[in-house]
Amino acid sequence: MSRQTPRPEELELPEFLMPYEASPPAPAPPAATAAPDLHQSGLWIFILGDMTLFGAFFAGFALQARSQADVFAGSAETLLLGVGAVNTLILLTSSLFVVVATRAVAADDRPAAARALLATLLCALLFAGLKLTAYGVELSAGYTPTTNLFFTYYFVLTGIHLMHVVVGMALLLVAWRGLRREAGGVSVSFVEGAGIYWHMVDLLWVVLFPLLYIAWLP
Amino acid sequence: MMRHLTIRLWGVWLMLVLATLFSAWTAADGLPGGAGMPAAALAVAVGFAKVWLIGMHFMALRDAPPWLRSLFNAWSLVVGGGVTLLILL
Repeated sequence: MSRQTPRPEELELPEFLMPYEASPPAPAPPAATAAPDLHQSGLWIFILGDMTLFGAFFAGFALQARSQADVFAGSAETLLLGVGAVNTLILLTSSLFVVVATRAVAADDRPAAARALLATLLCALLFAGLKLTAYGVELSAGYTPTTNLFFTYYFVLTGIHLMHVVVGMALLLVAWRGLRREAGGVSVSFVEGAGIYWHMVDLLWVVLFPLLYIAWLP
Repeated sequence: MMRHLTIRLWGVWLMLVLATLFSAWTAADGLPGGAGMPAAALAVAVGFAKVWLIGMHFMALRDAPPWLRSLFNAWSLVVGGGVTLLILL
């Protein structure tokens, strides 16, 4: 008597040996929500806090202007209006380049983003150069932070703003160098964060220009 | 490089540039209505309007979560309106 061997398809295999036809379904990605990214939230809290600090300075300056209208008018007249206006146009254009950079990097067009950041950096250098030249002219004409209250505000506000320009340039430089590396040395969110910071530098100057150069002219 | 920009963004930049040129030109030639607190308040209010445009369009806050857009609008209104009123009143 011979014992018949069962065919392979008739065998009852344990579960862990059973072949499966398809890969198990991948876990579903988390549903998109309106909750913002934590890093971006932190950046925005810093940006709005910095803007509010400047807002307090703006309010203090406006209050003082009421009691010293003649001093403010005479002092504003000595500032280089043309340099202030050109610097405003430079920063507005630099902001447009930053918009190009953030949109290009989001579209994975890193060469275009790097070129736009380089253009932004050149604008920043031009702004800083013109601002330092204006300081030189004003100081050599005898106007210093101790001349009167207007010039105290002028040098403090534009000086703090210039420090923001320097920090912004450092961030943009890191982003630009990262974009030029072959193996993506910088993240999209870093470029966006540096861009938001630079826009803040721009919008603060957009208020400083009329507040210091224009509003009190006789 | 500039192909990443839309007509809307070009338009906002042009508005900001024209507003700056107009402000500088009127300041050099004498502020509208003569010097004084109303002219000063107008110059500063135009500056804050430009800030709002930069925030909404360049910083893309028009597409941001509502809480962030509201905070920026509140800042523009409180600081911009406050400074303008301090000059006027």
